[in-house]
Amino acid sequence: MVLAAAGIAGALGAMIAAPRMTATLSGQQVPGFLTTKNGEWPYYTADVRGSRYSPLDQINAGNFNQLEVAWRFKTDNMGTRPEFKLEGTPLMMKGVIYATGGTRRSVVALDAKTGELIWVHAEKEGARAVNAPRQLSGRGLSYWTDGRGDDRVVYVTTGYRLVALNAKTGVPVPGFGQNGVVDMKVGAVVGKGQQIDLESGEIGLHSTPTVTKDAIIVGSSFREGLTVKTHNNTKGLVRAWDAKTGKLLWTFNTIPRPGEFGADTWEKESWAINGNTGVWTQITVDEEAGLVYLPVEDPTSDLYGGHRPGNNLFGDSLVAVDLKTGQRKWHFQIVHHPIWDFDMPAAPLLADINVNGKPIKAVAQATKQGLLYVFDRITGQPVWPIEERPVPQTDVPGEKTSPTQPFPTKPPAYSRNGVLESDLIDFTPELKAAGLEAAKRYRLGPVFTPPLVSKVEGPVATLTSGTLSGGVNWPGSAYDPEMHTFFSHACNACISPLGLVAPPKEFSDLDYVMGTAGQTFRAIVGGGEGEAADAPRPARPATPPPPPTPPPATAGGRGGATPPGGGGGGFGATVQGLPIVKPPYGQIVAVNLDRGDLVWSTPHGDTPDAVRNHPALKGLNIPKTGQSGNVGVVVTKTLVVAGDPSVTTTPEHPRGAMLRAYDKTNGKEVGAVWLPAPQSGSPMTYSVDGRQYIVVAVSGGNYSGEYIAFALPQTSTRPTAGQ
Amino acid sequence: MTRTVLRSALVLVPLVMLAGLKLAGQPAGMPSTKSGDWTHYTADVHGTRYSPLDQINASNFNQLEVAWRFKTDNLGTRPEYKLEGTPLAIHGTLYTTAGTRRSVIALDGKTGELIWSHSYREGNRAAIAPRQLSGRGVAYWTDGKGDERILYVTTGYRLIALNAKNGAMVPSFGEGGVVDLKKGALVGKGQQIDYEVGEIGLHSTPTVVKDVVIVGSSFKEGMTVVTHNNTKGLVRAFDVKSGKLLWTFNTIPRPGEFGNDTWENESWAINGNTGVWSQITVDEDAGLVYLPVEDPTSDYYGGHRPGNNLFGDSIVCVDLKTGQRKWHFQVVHHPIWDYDMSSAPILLDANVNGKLIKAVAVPSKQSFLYVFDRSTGQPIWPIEERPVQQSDVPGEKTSPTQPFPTKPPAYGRPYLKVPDDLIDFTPALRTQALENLKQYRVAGMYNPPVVGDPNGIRGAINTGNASGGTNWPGGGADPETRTVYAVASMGAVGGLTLRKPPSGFSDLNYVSGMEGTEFREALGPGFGTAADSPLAAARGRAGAAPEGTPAAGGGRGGRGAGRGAAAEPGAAPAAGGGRGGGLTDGLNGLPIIKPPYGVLAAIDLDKGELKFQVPHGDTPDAVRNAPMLAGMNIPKTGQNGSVGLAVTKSLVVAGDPQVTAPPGRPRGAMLRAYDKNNGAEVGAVWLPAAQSGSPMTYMADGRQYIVVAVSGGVYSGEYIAFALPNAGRPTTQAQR
Repeated sequence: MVLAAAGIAGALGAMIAAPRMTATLSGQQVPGFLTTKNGEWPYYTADVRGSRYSPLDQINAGNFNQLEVAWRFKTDNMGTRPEFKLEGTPLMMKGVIYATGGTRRSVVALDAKTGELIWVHAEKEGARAVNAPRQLSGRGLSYWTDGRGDDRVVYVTTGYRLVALNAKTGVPVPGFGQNGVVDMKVGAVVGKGQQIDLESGEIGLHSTPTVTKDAIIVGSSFREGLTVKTHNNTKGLVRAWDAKTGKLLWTFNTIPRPGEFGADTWEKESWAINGNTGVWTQITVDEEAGLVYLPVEDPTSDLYGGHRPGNNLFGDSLVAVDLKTGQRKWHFQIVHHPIWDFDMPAAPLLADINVNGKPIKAVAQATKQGLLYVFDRITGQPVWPIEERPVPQTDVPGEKTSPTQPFPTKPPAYSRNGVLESDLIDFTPELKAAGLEAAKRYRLGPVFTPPLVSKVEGPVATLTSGTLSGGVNWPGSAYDPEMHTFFSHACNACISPLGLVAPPKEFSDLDYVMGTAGQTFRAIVGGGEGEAADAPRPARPATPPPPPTPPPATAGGRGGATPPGGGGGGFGATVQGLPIVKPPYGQIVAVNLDRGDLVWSTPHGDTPDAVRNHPALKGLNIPKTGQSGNVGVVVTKTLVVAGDPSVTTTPEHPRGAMLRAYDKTNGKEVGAVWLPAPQSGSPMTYSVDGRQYIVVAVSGGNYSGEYIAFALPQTSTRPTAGQ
Repeated sequence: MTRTVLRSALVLVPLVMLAGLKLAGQPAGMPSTKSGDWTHYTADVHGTRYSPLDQINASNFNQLEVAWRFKTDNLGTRPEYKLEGTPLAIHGTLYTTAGTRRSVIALDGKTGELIWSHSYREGNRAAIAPRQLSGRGVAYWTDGKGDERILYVTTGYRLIALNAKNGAMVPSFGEGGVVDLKKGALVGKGQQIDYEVGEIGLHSTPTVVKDVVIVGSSFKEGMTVVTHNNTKGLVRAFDVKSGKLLWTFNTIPRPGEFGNDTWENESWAINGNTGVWSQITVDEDAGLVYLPVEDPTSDYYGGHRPGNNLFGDSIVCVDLKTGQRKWHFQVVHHPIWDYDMSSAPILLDANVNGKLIKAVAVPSKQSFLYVFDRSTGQPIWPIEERPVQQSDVPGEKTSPTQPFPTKPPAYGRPYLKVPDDLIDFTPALRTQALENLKQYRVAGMYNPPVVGDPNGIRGAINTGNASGGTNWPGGGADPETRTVYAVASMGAVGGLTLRKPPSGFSDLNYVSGMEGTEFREALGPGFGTAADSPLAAARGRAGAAPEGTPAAGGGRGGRGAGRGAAAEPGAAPAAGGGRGGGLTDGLNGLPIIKPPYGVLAAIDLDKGELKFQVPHGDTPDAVRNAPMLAGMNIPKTGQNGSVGLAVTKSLVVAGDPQVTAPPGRPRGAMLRAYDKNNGAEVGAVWLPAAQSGSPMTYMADGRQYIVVAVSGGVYSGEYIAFALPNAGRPTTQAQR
């Protein structure tokens, strides 16, 4: 049901119609190539290549500190209650901001200069949204235009419907699907091909559709996969729909069916009794080559694959398919037989690089495991050799791990992806000893050390870094097409103990799920679960809550996970309240893709209060540690911009977070402005009427979702706070 | 631009209609306060602001919690600090206006969730409009068969009809949902005003009754006007389905029309204003409409309009079908005190001496309740013409007498009684107050303005002129106990002065001001702050006095009463204004009057007597913390400022007009509940800012809510909904 349509009237029509010049400019591009060149931000990832890059430079190192709040938009009244996990990145087209927000995942259109609400749309989906695996406002939406005045906003509802709205009015487009709506649950299947229930069937999506000239490509996502009820979950799929009519163009089965390529990697016909393997992060497209890049997640379940022997294609693979047909062109499985919850978390970045004098159309896949996998995006050949190396093998009954895993020889890892003794805290001899003592409860090891069956006497778990939440997670990374450089925030201390327990029989048909021996079993739910607009207000929880997560939970998880031990917050295992691993806890990195080198790496975020104020560290000179967490970046002509993943209270600023700008050539911090809460959605930038803006979503803790727009002061007629 | 408007409307509407079909069927039928709705700005078309709900009562008011809140910052290009709306509640959905563009929003009454938002971009027409910002709200109409509409007046004076379900403009109403109200607004002898720059607007809501929508008119502040030949006030009725004009009532009678002779020397032809800027009420059974008419041009000088100037400052009863005058009563003859008719006429059936009387009772800036038989216009109790002080301003000719009700007694302070009303915390303060008054003329009620002389008479002492007494928020009534309630500001004391305008500014002989001082144009605080206005900073904020304490509740949608203990804008520095050179010299920042500074009053309409009169609002910080009062026991003083109220089965509810920071709670204001029988305060909940729009109440799914608009100072406009805690209701707390 449509909850809201909105009236806009008067000059708004003119306002949308007016930038004809812009339309004409775009028209000179290849049709369908919406571009950032004219100051717009037409995709969640800036462009369909995933770059998060804008050539704007009015805001630069010389003036970043002068930024002021130009406008702000609080999302509290989108939905029945405020949202505390606002993850969207708005689009800006023709002077209008489009974004999702709130517990009902409403869509809003805002005047890009003032933040004025132009229209609001929401779908009331009742139980279907309440049951949905991916709740709250999601990451945003997409824009489609025929270049002749038919402008649309496209998004996926909480209940997994694809909706097309008239960009001018917010009214569903009657010619698209059924009155603007395509029910994407139709065609989602379980087992050997049984249609899932349209109300209670499990499938959803947080990420935005990927829109090309003719097609809208949509992935799929599910509940958190750490403690699932059945391995026979809904099967992941990717579909393309006709952008104009909503007609289905093609389907790509991420779990190949008998006869399809890769079916043999599901031994004992296990394809038929397993699900997930969705594509929950952003899909990117080489429109020229007609290739679509799909970053595929884990099969069921995240940490135990005993019910699915084999490599399980296309789990944890990067798959290139044909834009017109959805046929597989090439693939590369980055994790064989995935049991680390590594997924493919980030948008594949399309990068035209130059290696040893040879131009290569590349695609670079950032991962949770701190490794950047770079391929020729036409052929799928690695740009630098990727070696299969032996890895530690599992001792979990029923599990059979792959003897080897792929390791890129270049570029080097950009974040910590294993926990060895040399990674442990060593601020003082006492703390080092305490760290070693604490580590005795765990099995340590390098990347791809498998989970273990938790024992009360120990080890209780494998201590891992980046497994659940990265490294790089859903916010992804950026690529600068001029410098041929990859920029990213990466968590360096997202420590997760991976332990398995046999679940209560009535809970699950799996032999093992995540858990800790000696503790009451509890299901691990996503952060937004049960918090959609119409969810019954919990006298919650039926299942006891996870242990207190260090603040903030916001930036953690992959938009849902509240991993045990707070992998999202990063301090999964602690020593006297300090992270068990050494700093830096999080960093911004730059990797040159012509050379495959790490150019610079700098801690991102103030030293956490818990560290800075720790009595055991008094008198010590601790260099800035950066912060654990996952945040996205935006890259401009000269800057890399990202906000802190956690709030701090420092002598320099009141409790809050900072939105920081780094010189993209050397990683030097050149400016920072205060945010009232952590960055919870990745920043974007645009220019309207000659003024550049940066918009970022903040939320977390007791701060409800808000989009904040920054711009440089206007000298003459700047609005004042009061009247 | 108009073409764009039409085109976008035409494109929009059919699509929205389709969308609307998908809505869950709302309960049809006619909403009313009896079923828990709040169907008019004033609760009902009788102006009562009464709801029979009683889930929230004396025993539990203190337990009220914030059920939801709606901040209006993003409706318009910048936040609004003067949110004056009272939402309607229809079948659980709230409708109201908000923000610097006067957007219309629909909210879920249970959660505050935004359902739709509409706004109309009017460009310069709105930027220079006389009545800017969000106004007071909207009106609702339904045919009872599923056609539900929201009607409102834009900043640029267009009447717009929206589909209540989705906010889409109703294509069959006017032109694509719009009636241009400027069409037919005239100046001089009948010249159409310019559609863009012509001066006319409205803050109040249309009045919808049966299939008729009635709309008044308003203008710029009238203290320092540039011409006496301003746009003429008028009231019109339109067919609610088609937007077709049904009738026009000329508040300035034309030659041949009744009352034209009260404009001597053909002055009707060269004067304007005389609008109806407050709420219009209707006796739908009798088919009679009650119009509270404002001042003619200008507020304080009538030298260009000799005569009584009907229907200035009159209550006029017209026929609902034809707009023909049935009766009228002029409350102020030849108005030069800015007394306007500020409040919605309240229709109430009283039982006077055993006789049932269908009455109309009109609260006023003067703090008198004027009560008439609403069928005949006869005063229920004699209203006497009494001699008043005469003007000595050149060219001005005051009426020798003015009407004084014999009953009920004034419920506020109609004039300053000297010395009885003067500050008396200490004998020295009283002496100082008397000393200060020596520079002013004190002459009882209807003391005409003087030409201000900084070295001689600095003003004519009056109370309540610009801001009341009771101003635009009006009063309320309980039809069961036949009692009228109103908040009266008591501290709005000022010395009215005139001066010659600077050369080239105006064609008037006199405007507000003081000779020998710098001339300042008096502008409403909202003026120049509409969404698309060039920013106020660029204008140097001439005339708009710096905002001190919240302007909320003050002014008639513009004027800044409610500032501290209230200056009368356009008047000389006033009681408590403390700006020196005047009434508060030597009073250490204290008001010249003694408390109470503001009261909630109840008037028994059967007896014509005051039932109670209690101070409303905490003692202002400036008084409570005054060093010279340390150690004294000062009873609660109440606060200056006119605020509106809601009446329920057992309570009268109203918020403080000012913020204070007394011990025991943070800086803020309180929303208070009074036992409606005796005025005892039975509960109060905290508000982050002053009440700036009148409260309302409704029921949704068995739960009663009270919604109030707050804003002022640095706090931008917000609607806050209160309700009792739900057992087992989860918190709005942050999650992990």
